[in-house]
Amino acid sequence: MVKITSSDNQEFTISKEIANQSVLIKNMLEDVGESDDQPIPLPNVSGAILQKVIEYATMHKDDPPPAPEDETKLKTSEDIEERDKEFMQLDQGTMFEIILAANYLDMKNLLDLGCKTVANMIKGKSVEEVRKLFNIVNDFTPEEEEQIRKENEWCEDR
Amino acid sequence: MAQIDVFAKCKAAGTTTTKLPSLSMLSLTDANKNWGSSPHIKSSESKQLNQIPPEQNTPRGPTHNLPHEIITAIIQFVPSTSLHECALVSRRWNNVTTPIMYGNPFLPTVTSISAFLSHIEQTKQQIVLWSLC
Repeated sequence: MVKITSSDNQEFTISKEIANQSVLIKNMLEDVGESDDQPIPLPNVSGAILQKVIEYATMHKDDPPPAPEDETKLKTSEDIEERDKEFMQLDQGTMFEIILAANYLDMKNLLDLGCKTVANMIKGKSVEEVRKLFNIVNDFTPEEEEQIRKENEWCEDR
Repeated sequence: MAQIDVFAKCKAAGTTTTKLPSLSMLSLTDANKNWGSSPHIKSSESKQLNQIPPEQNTPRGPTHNLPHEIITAIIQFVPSTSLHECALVSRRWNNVTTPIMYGNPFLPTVTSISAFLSHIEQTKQQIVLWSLC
């Protein structure tokens, strides 16, 4: 078993196969060796988010090892498993915190899942709708916006 | 380093001067910031934010603190048909989307191919002109 502690000092005890899904923790375990039973501090992840991440890792503990990434393959957000869709039914704040945690913990599958979920939210929305969805301020001048619109005209919806 | 420069300028500016870094500069420093940075940087940042007059202190969305690489990872999954919109959301989104959009241009029709080619041709001519200046 492996002990990890969150930024708010919550301690979690997890199995090694769950811990190893995080490349960060896996490398740390390899560095410190088996004998050390000190908890691994994860100062960038809160207890609530770590709980969700462990839930995801537990759900996927029997998954086959991921196939090496094919750079030529087009990335798609269409291939999300049903159980993962359910898992990502979260408020926006939690969702982005999970994405950040997955990035920090180096959990590619969870990071991809988060990014695909956000990409699906963006898909088909107008510029204004995307800004509204994520509360993004338009920092272009009207001239700049027009210029970009013109430059990228070739890929506008036809 | 740029981040530290901005903070240093801000500290030097104190409360006497009204010239403050623009919001886009702030977002740049955030983009460069390592997630979960030291408390020192966090406190300087909040100090900096407090100095912004209320009308400029617009609420920030959840994507504001995302590092550049995460926004890139998200946009990579956005279908080609929605990239045009992403490029127009904000400067930051434009910086991320443009290389993805041009790296793998979505050209489903003959019209789109010729529009793309003529745009590239125009850009090439502009570059030649600039290099002559």
